[in-house]
Amino acid sequence: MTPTREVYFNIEHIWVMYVLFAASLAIFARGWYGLWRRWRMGQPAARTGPLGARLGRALRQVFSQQTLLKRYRAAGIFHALFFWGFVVLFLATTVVFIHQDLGIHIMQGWFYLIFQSLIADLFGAFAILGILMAFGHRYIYKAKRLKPDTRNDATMLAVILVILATGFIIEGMRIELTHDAWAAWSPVGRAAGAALAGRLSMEAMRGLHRAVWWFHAVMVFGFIAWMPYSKLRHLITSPANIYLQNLGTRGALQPLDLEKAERLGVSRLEQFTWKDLFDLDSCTECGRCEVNCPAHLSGKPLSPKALILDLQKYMHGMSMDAAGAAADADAPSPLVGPIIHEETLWSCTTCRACMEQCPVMIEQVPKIVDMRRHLVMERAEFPDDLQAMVRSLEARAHPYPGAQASRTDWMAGLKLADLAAEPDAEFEVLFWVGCAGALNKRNQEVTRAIAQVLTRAGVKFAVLGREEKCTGDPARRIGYEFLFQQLARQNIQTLDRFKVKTVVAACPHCFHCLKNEYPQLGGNYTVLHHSEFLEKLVADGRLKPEGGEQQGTVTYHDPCYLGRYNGVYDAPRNLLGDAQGAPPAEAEMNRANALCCGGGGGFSFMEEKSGTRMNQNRARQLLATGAETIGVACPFCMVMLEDGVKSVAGEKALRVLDVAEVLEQRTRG
Amino acid sequence: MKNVVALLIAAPGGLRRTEAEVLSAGRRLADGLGGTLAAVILGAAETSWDGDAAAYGADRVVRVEHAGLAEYQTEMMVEAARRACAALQAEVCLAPSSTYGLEMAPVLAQKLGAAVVTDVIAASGEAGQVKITKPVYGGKANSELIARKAPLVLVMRARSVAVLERKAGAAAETSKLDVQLDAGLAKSRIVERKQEASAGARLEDARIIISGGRGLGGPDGFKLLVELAGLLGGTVGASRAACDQGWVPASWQIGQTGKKVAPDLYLAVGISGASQHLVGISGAKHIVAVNKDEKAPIFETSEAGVVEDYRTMIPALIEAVKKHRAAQGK
Amino acid sequence: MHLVVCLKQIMDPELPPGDFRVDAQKKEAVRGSANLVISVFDENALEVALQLRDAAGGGKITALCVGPESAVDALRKAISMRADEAIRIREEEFPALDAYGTARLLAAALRKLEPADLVFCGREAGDWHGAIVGGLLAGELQRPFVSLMAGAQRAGDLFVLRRQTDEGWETVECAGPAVISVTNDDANQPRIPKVKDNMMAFRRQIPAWGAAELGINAAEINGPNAALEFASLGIPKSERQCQVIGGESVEEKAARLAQKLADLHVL
Repeated sequence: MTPTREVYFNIEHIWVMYVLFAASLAIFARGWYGLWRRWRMGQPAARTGPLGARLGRALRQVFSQQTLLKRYRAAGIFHALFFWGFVVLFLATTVVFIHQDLGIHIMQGWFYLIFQSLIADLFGAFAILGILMAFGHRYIYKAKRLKPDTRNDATMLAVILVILATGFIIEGMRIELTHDAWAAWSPVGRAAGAALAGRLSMEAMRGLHRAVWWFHAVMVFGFIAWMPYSKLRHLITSPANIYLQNLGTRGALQPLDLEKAERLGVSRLEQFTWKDLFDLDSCTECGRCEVNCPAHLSGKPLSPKALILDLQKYMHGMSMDAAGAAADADAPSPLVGPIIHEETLWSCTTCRACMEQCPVMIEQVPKIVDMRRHLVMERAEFPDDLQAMVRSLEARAHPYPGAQASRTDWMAGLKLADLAAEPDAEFEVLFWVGCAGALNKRNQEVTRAIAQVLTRAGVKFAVLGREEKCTGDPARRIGYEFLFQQLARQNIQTLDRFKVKTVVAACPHCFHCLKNEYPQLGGNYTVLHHSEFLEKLVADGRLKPEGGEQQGTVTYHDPCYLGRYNGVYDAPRNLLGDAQGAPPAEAEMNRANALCCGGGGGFSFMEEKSGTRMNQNRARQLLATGAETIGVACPFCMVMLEDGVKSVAGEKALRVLDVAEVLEQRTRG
Repeated sequence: MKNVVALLIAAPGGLRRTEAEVLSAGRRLADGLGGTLAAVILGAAETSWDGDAAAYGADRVVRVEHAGLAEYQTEMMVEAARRACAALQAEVCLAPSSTYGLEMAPVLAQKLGAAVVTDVIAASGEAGQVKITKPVYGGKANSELIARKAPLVLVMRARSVAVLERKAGAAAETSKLDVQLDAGLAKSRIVERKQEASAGARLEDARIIISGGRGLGGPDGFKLLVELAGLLGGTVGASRAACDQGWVPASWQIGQTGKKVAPDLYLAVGISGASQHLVGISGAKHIVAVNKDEKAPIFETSEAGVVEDYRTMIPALIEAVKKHRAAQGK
Repeated sequence: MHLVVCLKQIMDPELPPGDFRVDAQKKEAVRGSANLVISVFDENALEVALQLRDAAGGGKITALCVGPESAVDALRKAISMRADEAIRIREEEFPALDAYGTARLLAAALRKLEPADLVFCGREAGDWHGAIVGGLLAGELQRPFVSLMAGAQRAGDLFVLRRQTDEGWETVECAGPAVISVTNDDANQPRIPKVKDNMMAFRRQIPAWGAAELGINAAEINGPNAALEFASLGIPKSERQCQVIGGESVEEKAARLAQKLADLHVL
């Protein structure tokens, strides 16, 4: 006898099931159609092709559950359990459909025994285990990131649990009633059946089997129908969103064509791209973004999760008649202000922790910047401190209002090729100093250290001196794309005039901007952060960190724009390691999970008006390592953390040094 | 050029430092030019200033009294001053070193056909010429001008002139000039006057000034300065950056376009020391700075400085001053 | 309501002292890499005018600038802040202008632009700090002059002005037409233009008037200030030596600073 089973055993009037199924599908389709219409309001975005590259990447990421298993491993494991449970049970159901409704009899033989019986049985059990763990995580462990609104979650989990449990009960009863010869292949189902067999007569069991079967079917159809109307929709949207992920340069904001653009930024929901709107429905409300957000952690009115969910709620509640109506550019925004408060938008440091954490690749930062663009460029309404910064950028091409230093002050006593003074000087690499490195007193010391180390290594380098202007990064992050493009174009002109090919930038913000955003405007250079370049000099033996004084134990703080934005985690660590003879101690949050110092996205030029101070929060984590020195690789981090350390632990608690300064001390003759 | 005239706008009470400065500058000019100094007091009623004006070097005192001068009003004041200058054949006219003087000076000069220079920090006479020093470019440079032709209208920068020693009992020829002023001249009128609440003395007269700048980061920082000022018996001032941000009233502003001050102690907190600010404190006897940026230019102008964050430093200083006083009291 | 705002374009006054040089021969600052900007109080004046117009719900603002070709940028900036019109007076036709000359040029332009209810100037230019053109202009036009205004409001036929004084504040009522000069205040910080206004201003042609348009004889434009001899321009030296008060802790520094203050007899 070929191993198989009867599909509709003990069930009559099977047409009723088909009617119910059709009804659930209709509700399901209607729900998705509503969502689809809302996504379609959005602006065009090239996010669907190339199919091959996207599909391969997405399948790998989805089926390996890697984004979930990477962090919060326990939660990742139970999600993987029910993810795989669902996948297998869905496949098993598909097999039934092919076997029964298409009449292609595949549900038999070894395939029936191994996949349809054993594997489906075990994965069903895994899924139950996953669900129970999820309950525990929410209601016993009470994970902070899953608050608020866990009531919906409870219903959802309960429904899934009931579906899975009734599935095993039906299977178990069928095994008992049919004296299934292959029962051993369905161990969990058999156990369920055996447990019931002792308590019920065969006749009662037959009746109960029928009742539970219909109950199970109704629950499943209900679940399907409910999907597009609840966060269960993520079963479909999340993998789809992973397919639609940004394949372009990481962290590079989309440029605006200022000559042609009718709108500058987003003041109405439908001005987002369709992909932005799709993001909103991909959210699983897992809260990973929120618990890694420096703004949220310091009590500011921003949670990336709440931002996405507020937008989602607004989108779902929006009247489709109002959408798409040609909006007067001067009309008050129904979105920025009423739905997403200005203060929320001005709380973001653009540190990208939310995007790094999000398992379904929602892009929060570009949305925030889009809405900032509206505030800054269309309404000209933004915080006073940032207005002062903008004025300074316009008049003096640096973001430090009231700065008394000049761009060449730090050079005093150093022999350098300053292209502003000697345009014909020969050089191999251009040392991009940055406004902070030139104008901020503490960072001038770092700039000098870099110049000294480069000189020691015999690198032929030049600086732009007075010809250097702000890269435009602070303007771009606050949404002032217009000013960014002005500054960037001027810098590209200057760099091209001096035929610059390789740039070594001392500031991760400059570095990111020059490397990843200038190509958008036609500026193409090989750009390295100084930590990368110095690491190479050490590796090549051009610098020998063997002399000078050691710094004692060192920890390292990852700058967002070096680490998360550009994946440079090891070069600065290696430099510190070389200089100390031991790798740096790691802080509580490090590398891709590092907590922002609070200096990005315009915050270096703005007072924190609410909550606790972000730099102090990070300083506490770094102090907890017990290190004697904090290594940094960014001028904003330098200022933020020096201040943070002093406020938290007092004047002389420990030193904050740039990796270049550590190297400079170790390469003294 | 020999006839020097100092314009004084009468005010209740005795002669103030502002007027003494104008008279002192006028006396020095008249001496250099080998001429005389006439003090013209513009007001509605008799003041007690005649003797004071003589004590600070006026050879003549001319009182211009008219009911229309009770309240400052540009056109009325200018017309009265013009008549006095004409009667005295004024060749060099020093307008008051006040906001009113600054307002009157160009209008009066236009009527007199005079060259006019404001914000003068030094004016000396020699051989019929007046040599004028005026800071420009926000105090980053000094310009020297020479006036050879009369008439000339000058406004001295407040607190930049050393006041002459008062010669009690000095006498001057005193007279009264009757002027007829048409009330229709006045096209504007002051309807309300509000003194800005500042703890302690006026900034211009304060012996101790605690001043805050951009480095304070917000209005809250000034609360600490007010507390310290209260303890030291000083007045709180501010840089333009702090006033423009609205952290403190604009009337607290010290610098090129704010108050010019000459305290014994100027304690600059979180002030970087832009030249435009230094312009306002060049008359200070002692400048002490607290700034967390050790390379802030304010230290170049200070005689003592502490590199420290004001947020910890000012509370500590308040404690230290209390302790010091307690120790002294024993 | 027609409001006219006089602007001056100057070298960036916030140029750091380290970059500041003077040409002793030409007796002017060397521009070097410094930008040209609208003199800061003139921007405050424009802002007051904009607020007055916007509060009235209508009216016209004309920006006037005596300056070289480069001054077009200053006027475009004014347009981007939403001044309605802008006119440049060709400074190149009037070499070595004195303050009287500037005031007379502005007065001539104003006569062409009449009626103007209020004429605004900054309290002083951020380079030479003359603080006299406004008063001279009022004299030329025979209009009342009110200086150091922080803000202006309209009340019927009168303008209600808020004036900064040595003591505090005065409210001044003034019948138009008048000339007023404006000082900085947190209420008149110049607005940042919207980008679309920036782009609109960038494309705007700015008319320029010269001696012919103004009906003026360039040779006779200057007044008594031209007779002043500009003898020299130099950078003053500061020679103070700063005593750095150090210490192991904040408390120690504070104690030493208190002692220092006692030594200076100010405690």
